[in-house]
Amino acid sequence: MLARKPDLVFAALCLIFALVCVLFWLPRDTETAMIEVFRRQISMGDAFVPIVAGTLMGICAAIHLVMTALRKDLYDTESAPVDSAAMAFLIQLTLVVALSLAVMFWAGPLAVELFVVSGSEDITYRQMRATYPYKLIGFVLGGFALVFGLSALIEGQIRASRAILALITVAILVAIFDLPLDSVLLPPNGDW
Amino acid sequence: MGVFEYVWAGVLAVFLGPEAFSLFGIGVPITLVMVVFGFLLGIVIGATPGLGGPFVMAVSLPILISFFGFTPDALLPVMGFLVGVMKGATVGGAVPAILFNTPGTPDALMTTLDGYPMTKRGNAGKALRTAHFASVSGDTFSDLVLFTTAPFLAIIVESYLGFAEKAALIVLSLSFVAAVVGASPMKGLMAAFFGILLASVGTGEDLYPRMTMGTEFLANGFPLITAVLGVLIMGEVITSFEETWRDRRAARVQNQIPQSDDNSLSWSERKALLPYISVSAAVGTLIGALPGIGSTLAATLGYATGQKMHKGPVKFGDGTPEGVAATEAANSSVSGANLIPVLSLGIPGNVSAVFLILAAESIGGFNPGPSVFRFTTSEVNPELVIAFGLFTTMMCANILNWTIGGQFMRWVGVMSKVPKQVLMPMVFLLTITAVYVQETSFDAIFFLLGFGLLGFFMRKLRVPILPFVIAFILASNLETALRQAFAVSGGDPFFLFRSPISIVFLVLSVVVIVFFMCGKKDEAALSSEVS
Amino acid sequence: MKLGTLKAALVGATLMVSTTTSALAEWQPSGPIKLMIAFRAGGGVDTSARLLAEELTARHGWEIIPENVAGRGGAAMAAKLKDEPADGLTIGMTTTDSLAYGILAAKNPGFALEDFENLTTITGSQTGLISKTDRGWRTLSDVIEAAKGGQTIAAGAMSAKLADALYYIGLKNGVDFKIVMVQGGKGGLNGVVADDLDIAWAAGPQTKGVQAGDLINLVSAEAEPLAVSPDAPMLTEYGIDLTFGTKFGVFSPAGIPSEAEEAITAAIVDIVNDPSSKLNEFISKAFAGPQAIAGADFDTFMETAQASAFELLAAVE
Repeated sequence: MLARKPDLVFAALCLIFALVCVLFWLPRDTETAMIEVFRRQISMGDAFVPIVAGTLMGICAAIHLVMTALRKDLYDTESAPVDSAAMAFLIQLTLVVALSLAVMFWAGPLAVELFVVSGSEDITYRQMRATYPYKLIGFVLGGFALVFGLSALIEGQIRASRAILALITVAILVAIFDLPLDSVLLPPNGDW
Repeated sequence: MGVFEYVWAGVLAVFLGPEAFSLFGIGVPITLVMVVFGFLLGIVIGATPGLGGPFVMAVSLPILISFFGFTPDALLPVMGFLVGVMKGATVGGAVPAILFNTPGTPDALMTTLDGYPMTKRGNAGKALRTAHFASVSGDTFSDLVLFTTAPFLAIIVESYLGFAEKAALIVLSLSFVAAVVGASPMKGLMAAFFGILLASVGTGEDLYPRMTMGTEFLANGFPLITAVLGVLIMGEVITSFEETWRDRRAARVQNQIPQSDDNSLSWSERKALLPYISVSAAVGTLIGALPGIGSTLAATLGYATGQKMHKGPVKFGDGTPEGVAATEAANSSVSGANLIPVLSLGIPGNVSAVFLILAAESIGGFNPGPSVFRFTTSEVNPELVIAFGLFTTMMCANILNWTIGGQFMRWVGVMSKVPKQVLMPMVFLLTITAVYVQETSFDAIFFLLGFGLLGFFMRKLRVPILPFVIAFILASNLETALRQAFAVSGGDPFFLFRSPISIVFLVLSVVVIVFFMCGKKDEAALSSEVS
Repeated sequence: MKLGTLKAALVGATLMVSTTTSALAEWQPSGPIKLMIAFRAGGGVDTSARLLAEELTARHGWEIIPENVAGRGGAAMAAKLKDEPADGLTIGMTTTDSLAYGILAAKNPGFALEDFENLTTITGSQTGLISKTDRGWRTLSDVIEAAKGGQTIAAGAMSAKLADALYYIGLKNGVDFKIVMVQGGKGGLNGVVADDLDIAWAAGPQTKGVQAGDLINLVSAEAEPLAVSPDAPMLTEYGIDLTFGTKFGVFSPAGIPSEAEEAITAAIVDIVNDPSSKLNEFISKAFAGPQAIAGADFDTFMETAQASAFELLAAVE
């Protein structure tokens, strides 16, 4: 069980979130209100379910806040649920993932730009996204960077064996998704 | 067509369906091949700590659908595969729990209590055999209950429940999940309502996609599989990344424990286990039939009842086969029974059931729910044939489980040794790829990572995941039922309180919440409060 | 008047076929073609689109990638299709309704008819108002009578347009239906079978039930009598001069090269009209059969459809 203090903060944040949703966001961001009367028909508008869900979430958060405040058993032995180390980890994780995804997205188009020379008209990646090897460049490089980068991050060291494993992983995924099925698009080919 | 013709048609749909290849001139049906494949894969993945059946199901669904297409012919092979995975993973989950004291799934937590002490004494093989025997017995029992009760329940439901009652029933299921999973029903409810809130984004009936703040990015809402995979799998992956990252300097050494030579499980020993297995199987089936209550609670209850029955020299917790049997029979008998609410109400009770529904919905031609069980005589009801086909695949998987499951399970013990830091980055890329293949847009990857972070923080803050997931999935059914009930009532503000059945459902929802708030939960429930 | 134009369009379509086939050889896609589908997998539009993709690949070697962009009655797909490059590598299949009526009824749809090139229609719906046979009703008149006798009639509709249609029918005949929105083509059918609804619109999936005698088409919402129930009355008998059927159509973003437009259209029309194609087989069984209204006739059809949607909206306002 979560210690008392972080649980209080959590409940309070949920309560605030629910209040903001119900009072400010939801009524303004839905086309029809909770109840709509339209051509003599009374029906539920698009706002009904989210507003009810938000309200009930707020009520539960309030009850949880009170119950936690009244709690006598103190499980205060645990450290804070999200500490600075966790945040540092998340930042590093985000960097690795963002970088790998960027490689995945742009490597193919870049390769087409650099290596495809054609006569009169410009060939874009959109036209090459079903042609080997261009269709796989982004996925292979980005996927390799992702797997290898992640294992380097969590193990804190760079190992050649992990690089080989990353390559094998990418190769297996290509074999599963790309080889047998023509209508399947590996990332990033659906976005072009 | 009569009842038996339908059953027979279902059996034939499996065995006389499209052939995968032919062996000595005899065609091998593709559905059967998929069941075998799913079953073996399920055991392997179930035996891998940190992964489970839902993961395989989620990742393979897009591949299977692209492969088999969107025709009703695809239903049985795809669902057969999922059924195989579900059953394989249930058996496989006991392997790491027994061998290394690391439960692969929360259900297997109680298995460690007696399984690992047995391993330490050199009886790992016996513990694995016990787990397998108990698991497969419990599983088969609950399947038989499913086959016999689901059609009748469905017919009753179909004739008594209107729109308002269906809406009230979904509310009841949600409050059940929220109350039972996790330590605090209030946190469970908050998670459930948050799930409904997020599921509302971009959906709705108006042409303006609601809750999108005018952005195109959110206009189509969060894709279901993406969201579920994000919270369940990516959340777990990120959590385990963080753990590995924190103690990356601390190397862990696995010692080999010398094993005894005689690890067989004799018939008389099996007979002695039967009372424990049957009681636990009944408990598990009963619990499985209630929507939303997972196998974790079943395992806990099964273990507790077994403990009360037990009088042997070795106490529960010190490594007695009865302890392993009581737990495994209980958690395995949940999986079949969990399909009772799916097939009779269209409401999924756990994550595996969710993927069966998703498969059926994506392929089309089979809508799990009460309308399946219309025994029409003038024309063939194809959905009913599929339902009996599904039952046939479950029986095939059980037969496999009885025959080769135990041996295979002992072979895959090596999977339990795969280090997490090697496996998890691979899972990360595999999940991203599977989601992309389905949605073909980078937006989906961003959603996946976003939901992964959500899952990470929910685990950190001890907010139960399952209520969020089930609510996210049921939100559109709930909204549709509410809208329809409201429209039919002509705008009656008390539309949910006009029939005794729906009042009973709603009162029960409140009672369940209050009951679990007041009741004190034991340690086992607390330690597995996350999923 | 509207009926006349519709029929002219249909006749024109048949003539189109022979003239467009020659353009086929001249254009080849420079990459894979994305085929967006405006409805969920497994439904009528989805199945037609996937069969079409299969046939296009088999006959022309074009790589087609079907993709479901479901949501908001087709508006989600339309909004996305509009922003795709107009190079013939993206096309979309949806119902003509979702563009014609959808654009007019929405406060801010984000797209207009001019944003799309109309390639060709595939087939039409077989929309009828259904009830269970054992309710004893034979035609819409029986339902209207029951409603006038004080009975509450819960009626299911799967789109805003069909809900308006129910309201309009009620308005003209002096009764009020309790209109319930249902999900997808089968939603109304399931509601009626489960006795949750008294009557509901169904656009084709009811055919089997009608043939088996469990369901009955009370009225045809199409311009022609329904194939499975030729005796069901027409809406004109109830003072409604509009029809509420729809067609499955293939569209592309506006401004695609005309060679591409012609080649794709001709290829699709060929498949639709070829009795040996899987698509033809499917639409003949489940919907109104091959109806390939292409090119300028399709443009006329869409304008007519929008005009009649406008008329419906004006009538119910």
